[in-house]
Amino acid sequence: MANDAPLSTEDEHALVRRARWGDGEAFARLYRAHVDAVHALAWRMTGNRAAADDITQDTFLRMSRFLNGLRADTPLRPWLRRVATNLAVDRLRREAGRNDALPDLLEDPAGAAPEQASEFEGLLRRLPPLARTVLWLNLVEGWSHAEIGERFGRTASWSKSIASRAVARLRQALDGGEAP
Amino acid sequence: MNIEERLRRRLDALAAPSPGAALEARVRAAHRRRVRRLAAGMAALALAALVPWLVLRPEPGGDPPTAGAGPALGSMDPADASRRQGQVQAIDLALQAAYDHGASDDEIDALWRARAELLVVAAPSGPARRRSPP
Repeated sequence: MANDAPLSTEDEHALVRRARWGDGEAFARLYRAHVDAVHALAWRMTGNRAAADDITQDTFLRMSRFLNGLRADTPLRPWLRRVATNLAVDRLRREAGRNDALPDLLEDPAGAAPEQASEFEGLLRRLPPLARTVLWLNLVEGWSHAEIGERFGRTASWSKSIASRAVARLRQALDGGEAP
Repeated sequence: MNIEERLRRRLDALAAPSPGAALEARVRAAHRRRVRRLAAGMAALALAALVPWLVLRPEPGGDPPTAGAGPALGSMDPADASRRQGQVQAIDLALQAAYDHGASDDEIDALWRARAELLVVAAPSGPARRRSPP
């Protein structure tokens, strides 16, 4: 799917301008250059193919808007990642509503059976989407618990509690499945 | 290596499914729909900007515009010149969007006519019809 031909920042922003004015080929070039990264991020955060597809679509449509906060002197990829991350969080917030209970870390009915993947991946897929996203934001994207709590309208301790329980659960798979 | 770092590496290395051709078709179709809505909105803005002039323009069959028929932008009242400039720019944006998304000849001709007539009032020479994007 992806076109891996590298684009300079100047090229990218020229293509963004053309895409905003309706140039479908410019839009397609940008899409192919970045879709794998955006879609993989959305899938890793949500663990859900349909959600990853929706987030990818919304991310690229936001790129082609005139008022999107995208500066002409910055690379496109980090901006796309930030937008996709925020869209994933917004989606989770909508789905989670205001349920104050912490998620049960092994009660995701959509989870895949552990035997279909490595033990680690199986356990990860059985984490509820909220726990998976909090873990991803903290460990991979580098958000602090205070930032995560604020973004979800909660507290830092709420984020820390979810992350620490998820880490404890996944630690078993790591200790049993790989050398330290 | 601590547990968080080991987890971070495993998370970052997770295999992800391919986005697939169907998603590209879906996203590109959504982009085309957005562009069509944008073009329609800009055309509506351009026409709205022209309404005051259309109401006030000379009757058909009247004297053709001449050098003295209307003030050039440079000699107009600053507020009028600014408003007129905004009207021309709105039409230019609509034209650009119309060309880019392959609007019909009728749509494009209507925008060019509106632009040319607007300039007749402001400029000493007659309208110059352009056939490339502004």
